[in-house]
Amino acid sequence: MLSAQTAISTTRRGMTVGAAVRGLMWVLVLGAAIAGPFYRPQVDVLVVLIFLAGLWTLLVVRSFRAARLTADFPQLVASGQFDQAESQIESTLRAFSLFRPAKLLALHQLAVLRHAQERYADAAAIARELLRQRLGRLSGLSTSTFLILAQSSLELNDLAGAGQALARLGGRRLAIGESLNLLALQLDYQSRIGAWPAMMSDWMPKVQLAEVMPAAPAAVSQALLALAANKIGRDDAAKWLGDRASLLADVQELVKQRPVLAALWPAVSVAAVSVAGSTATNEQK
Amino acid sequence: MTIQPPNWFDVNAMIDQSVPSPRAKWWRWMAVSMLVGLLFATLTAGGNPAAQLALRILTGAVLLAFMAILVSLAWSANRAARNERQQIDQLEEMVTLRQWPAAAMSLHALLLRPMLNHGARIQALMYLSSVLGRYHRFTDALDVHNYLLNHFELDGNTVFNIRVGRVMAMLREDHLVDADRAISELRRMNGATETAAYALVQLFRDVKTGHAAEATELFEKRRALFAAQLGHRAADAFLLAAQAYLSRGDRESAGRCFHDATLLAPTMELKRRYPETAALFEAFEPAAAPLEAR
Repeated sequence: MLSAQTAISTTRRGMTVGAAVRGLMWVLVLGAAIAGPFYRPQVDVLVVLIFLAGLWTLLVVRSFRAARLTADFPQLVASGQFDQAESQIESTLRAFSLFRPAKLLALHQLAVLRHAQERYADAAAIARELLRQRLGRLSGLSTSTFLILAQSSLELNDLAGAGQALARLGGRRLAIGESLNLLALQLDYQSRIGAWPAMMSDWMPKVQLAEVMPAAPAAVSQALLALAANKIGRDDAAKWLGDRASLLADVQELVKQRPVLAALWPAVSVAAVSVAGSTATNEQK
Repeated sequence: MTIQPPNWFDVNAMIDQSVPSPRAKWWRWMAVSMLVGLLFATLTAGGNPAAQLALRILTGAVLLAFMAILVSLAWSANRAARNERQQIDQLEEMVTLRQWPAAAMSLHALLLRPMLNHGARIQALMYLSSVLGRYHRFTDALDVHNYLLNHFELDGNTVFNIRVGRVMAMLREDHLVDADRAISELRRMNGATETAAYALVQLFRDVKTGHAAEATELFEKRRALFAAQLGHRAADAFLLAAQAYLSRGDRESAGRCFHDATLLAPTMELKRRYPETAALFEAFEPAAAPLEAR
């Protein structure tokens, strides 16, 4: 398995080589155009330029072929074929490419893969590296990279890192999927730092957005909002949101996932804790 | 409550006029003409040094012009494809967030001219069927579903979703025999019987055809599945189950299911989606909601 550090250094090396070859080609083209006439008739500038154009075309085709290796990456990740996705990414990262975007895209795909594999430390390291780079025409990737960084940081309990990543996403124009993801992460982050009033400020649009999430994240988001409502004394909203969450997901599961929600369902949480405790005891035995 | 669609919503025109037009081939003719011209000039230049110089300059100019034209063509095609992709993304957002008038306007602008990409057109037509359903134009929605199913090779999930939408439209139009046949087709699809969407269309059919006992039995069996797979759209299943319980005279269960349905979705929205459940709204109070949610 490709480590985050190896992937990062391979990408940097690949981009440096690509940039050096691009620079060299320009120098050769300019050199042939400027110096060529002085060496006539031994050297025909047109022939040299045609040769360089041919070489350039060859390198471009090679670069495109390397980039195409990961074309079916989304389908592989969606179907859980992580090993195959990994080997394709590794091939792209190690292959020669003239262009930075091909390398950066492969690195971004590796961050997505590590995130899907729940290897959050690697995902966070790769996401940080991507955000340090000039993304150019891949700037659209920065949003999903920040989201990966925020979630990985939360999973690693790095609240400062998660907060910074989320702050960078504020005010951006997001696609609907990204907005839903951001809301879930913001609520998770704010509940961990105890920012209950902030969670409940303008809360109804958040609920409407949570309504279009799949059942599990919709339940968690509304349960966290219920907890925030409870903390600031909005008992009516807390009951409504808590009841909705309990219709969408098993309350014991919710408490197991987010122990902070135990405050919403005290009776259930005792059972959940005792079930979890007995499971742990059995495992120890 | 029936909301009238915009009067310019001509579905057949939208289907016909959105077909991508074949790519222009004029630039290929231009390239061939340039090459023929250059070949002719090379052959006629002969040993004349002045003509050869002129030929070299002409060759360079033609190659440069050709490259510039290719680059500008690629750039404009790329920009148009990106714009179309952005419009589809915006449509997805509008339909997901139930911004129906904006989605209808956007579809009108998009589908009354040839689109660039077949995949984007299929997506736009799927969104069109959702918007038509929202405006209670079920016959038109059926036309769109049938067009998609009959004219394209689509993946299994997409076909399943379109077929589910088609059955719902048939049931809404009271095409009960067709709906029953379409449900049988759905059942034969791989894994379909394990989905909440399939269970929901069965539930709706049973309610429409007055098979209340079957409906309540199905609901009890699939209750957890509805919530897990449909999220807030599980409100539809709760509402239909409430109607079935009410038909059987079980007011307590009907009231409980109605409460859960109105807890998950706004009352107005549920009333609009299933006018056949009007009796429930007379018989029971919706779930209490905080002021901001009313």
